[in-house]
Amino acid sequence: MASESSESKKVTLKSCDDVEFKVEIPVASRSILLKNMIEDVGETDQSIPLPNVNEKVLKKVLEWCQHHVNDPQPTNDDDDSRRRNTEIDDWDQRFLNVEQDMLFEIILAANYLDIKPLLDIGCKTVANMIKGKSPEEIRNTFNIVNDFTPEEEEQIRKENEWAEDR
Amino acid sequence: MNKFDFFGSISSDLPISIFPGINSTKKPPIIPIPQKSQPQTLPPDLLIRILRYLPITSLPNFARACRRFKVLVYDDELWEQHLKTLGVWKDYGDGDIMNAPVEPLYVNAKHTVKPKDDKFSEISKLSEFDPLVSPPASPITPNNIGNLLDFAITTANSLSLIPGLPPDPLSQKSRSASTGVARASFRKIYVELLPYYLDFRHRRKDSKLFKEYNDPSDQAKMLARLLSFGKLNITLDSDQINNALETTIEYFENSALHHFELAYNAQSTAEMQKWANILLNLNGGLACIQVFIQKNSIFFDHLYDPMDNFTYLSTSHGELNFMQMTEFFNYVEEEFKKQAILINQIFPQDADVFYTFVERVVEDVIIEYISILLEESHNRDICLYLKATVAAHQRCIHVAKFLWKESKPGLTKIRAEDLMYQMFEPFMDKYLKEEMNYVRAQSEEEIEKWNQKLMNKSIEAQQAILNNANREVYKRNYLTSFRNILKLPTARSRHSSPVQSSTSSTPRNKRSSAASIASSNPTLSPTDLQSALLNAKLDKMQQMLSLETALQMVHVNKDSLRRISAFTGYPDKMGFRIKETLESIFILLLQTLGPLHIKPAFETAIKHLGEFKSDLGSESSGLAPLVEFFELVHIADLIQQMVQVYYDEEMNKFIDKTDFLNNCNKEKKIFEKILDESVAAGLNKGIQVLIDHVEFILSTEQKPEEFNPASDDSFDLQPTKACIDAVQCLSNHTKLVVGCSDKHTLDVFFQEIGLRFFGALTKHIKKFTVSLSGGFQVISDLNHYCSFIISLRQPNITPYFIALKELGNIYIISNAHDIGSFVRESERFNGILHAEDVYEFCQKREDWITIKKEVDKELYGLKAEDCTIM
Repeated sequence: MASESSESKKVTLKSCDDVEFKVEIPVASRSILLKNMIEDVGETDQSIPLPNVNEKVLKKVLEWCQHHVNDPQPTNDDDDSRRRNTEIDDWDQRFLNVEQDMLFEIILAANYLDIKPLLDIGCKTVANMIKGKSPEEIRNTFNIVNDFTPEEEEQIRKENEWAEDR
Repeated sequence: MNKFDFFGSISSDLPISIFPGINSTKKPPIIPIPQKSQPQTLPPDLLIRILRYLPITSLPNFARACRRFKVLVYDDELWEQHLKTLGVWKDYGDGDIMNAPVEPLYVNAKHTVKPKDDKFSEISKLSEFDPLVSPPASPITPNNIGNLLDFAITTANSLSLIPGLPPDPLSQKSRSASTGVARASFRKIYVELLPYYLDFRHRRKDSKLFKEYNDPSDQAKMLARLLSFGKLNITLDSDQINNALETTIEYFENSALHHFELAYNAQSTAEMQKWANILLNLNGGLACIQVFIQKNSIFFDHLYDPMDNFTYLSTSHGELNFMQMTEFFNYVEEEFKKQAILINQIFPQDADVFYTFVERVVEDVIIEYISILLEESHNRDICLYLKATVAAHQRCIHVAKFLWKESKPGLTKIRAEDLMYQMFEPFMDKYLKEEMNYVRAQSEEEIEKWNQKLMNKSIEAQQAILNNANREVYKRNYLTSFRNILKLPTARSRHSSPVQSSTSSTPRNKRSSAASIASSNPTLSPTDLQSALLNAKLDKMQQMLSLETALQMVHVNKDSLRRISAFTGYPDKMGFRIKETLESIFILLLQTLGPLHIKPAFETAIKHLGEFKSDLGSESSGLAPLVEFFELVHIADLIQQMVQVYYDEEMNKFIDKTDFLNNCNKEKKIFEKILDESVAAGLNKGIQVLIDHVEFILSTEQKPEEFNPASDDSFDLQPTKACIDAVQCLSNHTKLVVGCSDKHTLDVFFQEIGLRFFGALTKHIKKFTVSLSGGFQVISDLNHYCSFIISLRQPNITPYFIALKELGNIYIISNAHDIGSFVRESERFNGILHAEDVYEFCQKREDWITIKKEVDKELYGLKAEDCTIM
């Protein structure tokens, strides 16, 4: 997977299943976690272990980083602007058109590696999966079991009637 | 492998355990543990993140999915986020448009806690009727939650959602502090706004909002609220609704703007105020403020042309009075005053329209005016440019002052001044550069002018030696006048250069008249004073150095300093740079005056000294190069004092005198050092020349027969001519030096002269054979020398001459035996003359051959007792 371009310096990342990836520093720096780490440690031949990310997910995440390598770094106060912009661009949509397990793992990895833009589009994708669905559909999506009694569920429905679609 | 398992949640039941509320009180929720090791769900903080992107209408179903999701939906964090988007969380009470309906809600929530169950529909009905007016106090029922009184609005529950953190008492507490107040508040707003919002699905101008609210002001408020409401993901189709809403708002704004413009054209303050208010409510009124400002005639229709300033230039002797500029600025200030009143009537204070207006005027009108003015003056004359810059800056500062003092309600002092300083800053770079260059060029020009003059001037040796008293008086007068000149306001007429009168007649009268003019008429132009003073008597003194040149340079410098000092109010970096330039300009004076003016002058003078050869022509009248040099020292001293006065009067304001690291102080030290070194080198050379000359006088005038008269013919015990001449020569020149340098230098100088003179004298006397009667002559000469030396008041050298006086006695002792003991009496000579020296003098006795034996016998003591002692 590692790009063989010799122009930029590279770091080696090691997934939890001991697969090593050679990555150009600008690509790896999409992850704030790695960026800070590289800045702190400086140049090193040692590989950086990423114990929470397996090979499949890391490959996927690095693919995203490679594609977005020239994006501007997100600012800190982007909460609001991120909200307003609920659209996901086409490439990202295709990129996230994966199995749900994979999607969740990408989100977890993005959270762990601190890649805000990727985390955001991941969350948006999940939100799009949820919206407009009935409780049962949501349960199916998330593979969970209803742990309410019918009375309890009716109570919650009533409590939230005001926010229901009309 | 999994050394750092930050995400225990991936594979374990940790997501459950971080919900202590559920975990501890109810049966554990059934979350299917997946068969494979792949995670099937996400930690709660990520789920909440996802919920933020979810339309509000999708939340109820999510809450119904399972207990865990319900807790997330009811969590304060989500609703606080939504309230923040609406702009009512934390910064509520800031005059926000959402403020009115929300605030009472919070008040109620805090104080009237009545745990009731489902009353929401009632409340929503209540508030629907009149959303703009404060809604009736409605008891809030937080769901599932405990004590509302403990609620602190600003407490964020950030602690609670850190994944992997074990549940501890603290996090349990913060978890349970999810009060639901945020959710309830949000619900309140939501229920109120939703019908109006949804109505935009199908309608635009005929929507429910416009039907229920007739007042455009209320309509504007509601539109603004709906706009920010729409920023939340409300429904699945909220994008379309938002578009429709925005279109409507645009239309509404345009129509309101149109009304505002009509009102503006009609000069109707009340109408303007009304529409401005509506537009402010709608979206902050930016467009409206723009329209208001742009319509002001000052931007396109004022009659003030910066070029007018130059129209009268030719008639007013090259001086600009900037009348036209003053008029322009008066007009601007007047306009500010009018607009301040108007704006206060139309716009609310916090819209800050006046500042925006002033800013625009400064940017579009004032800057343009000043740029043209400065550019044109720069093209014409640098000096003019410098003055124009200062004048323009003064006007700007005046405007700033006007803004915070005169125009009510205006700006605060700091804002007004900052505005002006900021505006003027771009001009400063060029100005500071030009100012430096100007001073440098002017100073160099003065030096050049002087050098030219020096070359053209035939250096004729006219040596009317001034007497000391005159010189002291003169110097004192001169410095006093100089001080007065400095204290006068900035000199205006630097250009009418003083005509150096060539008359050197009656210098005394002229000087005193000039001084009296100076004292009686303080408004006298400094240049006049200066030329009067200069003409008085400086012709003679200005062989090498020109006081006038120095004075001109100080003037150029002072003008420049005065100009720059107008800018010293500048804040920050620019202020620092201005101070720096100020110092450099002063340093420039020192650097041109020292190395370029004083040093070459001294070098020439010293060269002249070196070339000097004594001859018979120039006896008592003084040695031309020496006199020349002494005069030079005087002028240099005067210049130095002038610089000192200038430094005291002008620089004192800007720098700390005691700060020895300050460049000005350092440079001043260097300048003084140059001067001192030059003077010292010159004095050294001068002493040499002086003593050489004295020796020359002595050797040419002293006749051998004077000390060895042929017969006992008459002598009157007067000093010989050679002696008188030599002393005269010395005293003339030493007098010249008095007052031209500090006492210490003078002491050294006199001592050196005394010592060398002593040496010369001893050599001189040894040349002659002295008879008994001639001995009296020698004594009278020595007495004369001694009294001269005593008059110098140098205790260190008087003993030498007293010893010399004693020595004279050797020639008048007739008894050879006494001579011998006299030679040995060394205490008689205070240890200055040793026995050998005295013996040498003794050899010069006319009768030496006859008495030698006797004396030697006495001296070398061929006596028995001496031998035993030995």
